[in-house]
Amino acid sequence: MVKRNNIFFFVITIFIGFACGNVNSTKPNVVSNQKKLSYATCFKIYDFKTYQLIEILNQQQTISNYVLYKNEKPQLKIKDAIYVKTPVSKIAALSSIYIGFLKQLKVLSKIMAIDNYNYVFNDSIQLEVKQNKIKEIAINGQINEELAIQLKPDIIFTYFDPSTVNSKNQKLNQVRIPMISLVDHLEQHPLGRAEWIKFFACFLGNEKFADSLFLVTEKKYNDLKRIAATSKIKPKVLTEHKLNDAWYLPAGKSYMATLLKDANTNYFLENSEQTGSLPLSFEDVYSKSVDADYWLNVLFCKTKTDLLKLDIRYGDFKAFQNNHVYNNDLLVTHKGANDYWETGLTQPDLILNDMIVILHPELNLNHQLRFYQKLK
Amino acid sequence: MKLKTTYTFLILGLLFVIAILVDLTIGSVSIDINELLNFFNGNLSNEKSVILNQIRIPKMLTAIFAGMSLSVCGILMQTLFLNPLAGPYVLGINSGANLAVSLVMLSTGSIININNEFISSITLQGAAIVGSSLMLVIMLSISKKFSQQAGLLLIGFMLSQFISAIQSLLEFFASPEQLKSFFSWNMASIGNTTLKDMPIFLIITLSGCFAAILLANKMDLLLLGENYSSTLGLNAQQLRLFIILITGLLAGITTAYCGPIAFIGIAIPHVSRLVFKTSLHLIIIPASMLIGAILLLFCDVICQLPNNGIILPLNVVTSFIGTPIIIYLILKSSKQQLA
Repeated sequence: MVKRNNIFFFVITIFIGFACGNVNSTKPNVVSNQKKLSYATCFKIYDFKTYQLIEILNQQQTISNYVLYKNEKPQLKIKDAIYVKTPVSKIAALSSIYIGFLKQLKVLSKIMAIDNYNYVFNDSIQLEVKQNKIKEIAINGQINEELAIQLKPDIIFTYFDPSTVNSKNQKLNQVRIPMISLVDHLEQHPLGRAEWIKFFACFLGNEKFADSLFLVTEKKYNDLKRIAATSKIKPKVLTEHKLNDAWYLPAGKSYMATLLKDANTNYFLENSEQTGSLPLSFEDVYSKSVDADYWLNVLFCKTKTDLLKLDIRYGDFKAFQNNHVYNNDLLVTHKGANDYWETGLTQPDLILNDMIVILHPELNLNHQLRFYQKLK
Repeated sequence: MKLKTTYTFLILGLLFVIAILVDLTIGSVSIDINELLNFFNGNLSNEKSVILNQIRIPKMLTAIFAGMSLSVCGILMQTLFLNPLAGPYVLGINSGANLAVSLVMLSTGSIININNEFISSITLQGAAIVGSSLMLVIMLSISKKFSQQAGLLLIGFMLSQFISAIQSLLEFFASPEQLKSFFSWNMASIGNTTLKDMPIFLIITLSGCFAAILLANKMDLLLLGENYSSTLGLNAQQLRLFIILITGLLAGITTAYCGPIAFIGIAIPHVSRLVFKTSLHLIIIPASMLIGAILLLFCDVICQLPNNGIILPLNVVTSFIGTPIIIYLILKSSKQQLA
């Protein structure tokens, strides 16, 4: 029996040994060179004399390292680090939010490839795709490596999970096309996600410009937060709608919950400690939010009738009865691309502004809604 | 070997070569047969050489190894359980790999925060191998206690259901990004391998297939039923262990590199039996290896056909192509039997 167990553990140990990688790496002493970031927690920038080191993190663990250099490639002992010569001039931006960042940085002309035309809101990018000047290289959510190699961009920015793109990464790295897997979607604070503009700027060589842009966004956001806080009314808010049996609501430490908190609202999950979304039962949400004053982000519903078609009981909600249901789909192309995801996420002050206008009419903010519209 | 069988093998060999050539020349970037010949002479442009070296050749080899492995697994399982619906994944090997992969993919974010440095350092391939191997060890231990195949089949099925439930629970709490990654892994792909992966894939595939061929005569006896075959001197218990071990290795390595590929494992053995009109394992095993490889190569070609940058998911194509073929062959065979 003992012998059999030993064999079992030996086999498992071998498999686990085979399975593991990317554990140990030697890095230079970096603490003193770290660039200060105000909100972003999923990347770090270290400035050195001849190069920059960028770490991407998930839950405080480094998941990838990028070494950016201008002239001579530094010889560093950082395992699995990807080396990128900067500034890059030919970019594959495989998510609409990256287009938003690059637009802010005024380098849209450097985009030579996108993921899918249907997801792009920006007019000029749409036009260039139609003119075949910009190619689609991840139409079905997978990078088409053959097209990528043929186009040979200086860099590919993608949101794909690093673990799933590992082999593609190896292939593209061998032909010196660095593929960067970004995790900006893991940021919990809207300004944290907006601060990723500094990440892009490192590759483009316009960091000071990015810093100044972010400072403007940060100031506008915090000014709006202060204005919202002056209101004595704290409206009760509900978001999303149920999908099958689960009503996925933003958890207390999520991006949306932070926005709702900064908009000075009463959201029943605001004190939960989780991130991401929480799947709750209909009766749970019903009992806690049937009297919510406002209902935001109702996914694909364009009208109140659409909501009722999904579930007649939505008609019981106070926000529904008072015509206080809003969706973030004011600027959407006929293909479904939404500027909320392209511009809104890079400039969250615009989203917060919309929210305050909707949720605090008593503040009389003179502002035209940019992303939100009332359901008819 | 009968002359007809030899000719059929020759035709399959020819089809195999054609399938390889077609697979190497079809893709998002145009590479014709002359360019392919230039590549082998070392006279092709750098960009196209890279595409062939880095993408198409590893993909073509993966299609061949995966097609061979899954087809042999299918034969082994159908013989072991004397059940035509058995396939490489009935032992829960697929579920074990799926669960391990979903644990790695879904280990961050979501409310189930498995924030563990060890888990996040495991690659998907590694996770799939660990998951399928653990299931294999469990099934091997169970198989020693059961003399009836039906019991083993049922336990494999039940374990699969149990593991699927855990997996569904993880998916329920996952973020959209995590779900998307997991969904695309589940759609299977032969395009995620590199040339570096090929030696180990080749060694395991060839060893597994060779071991299966060595067991061919014993498996013929097993088809007569366990009781009858034991009177002929067959150690059924030992054979069963070997079959499970080979299946685990072949299905495990294929799932690790390609994800769970549908249809091939169940259907190819039937296609081989219908083409060669025999159940002799010494013929059916090599025939299935060839047919499995050819079919997976052609499925990959079809995946590339939209030709505007879109690549269809492999499992959609294997099912679309495979299901009508097998239904046609079964109908044809039943008509012949009636006649």
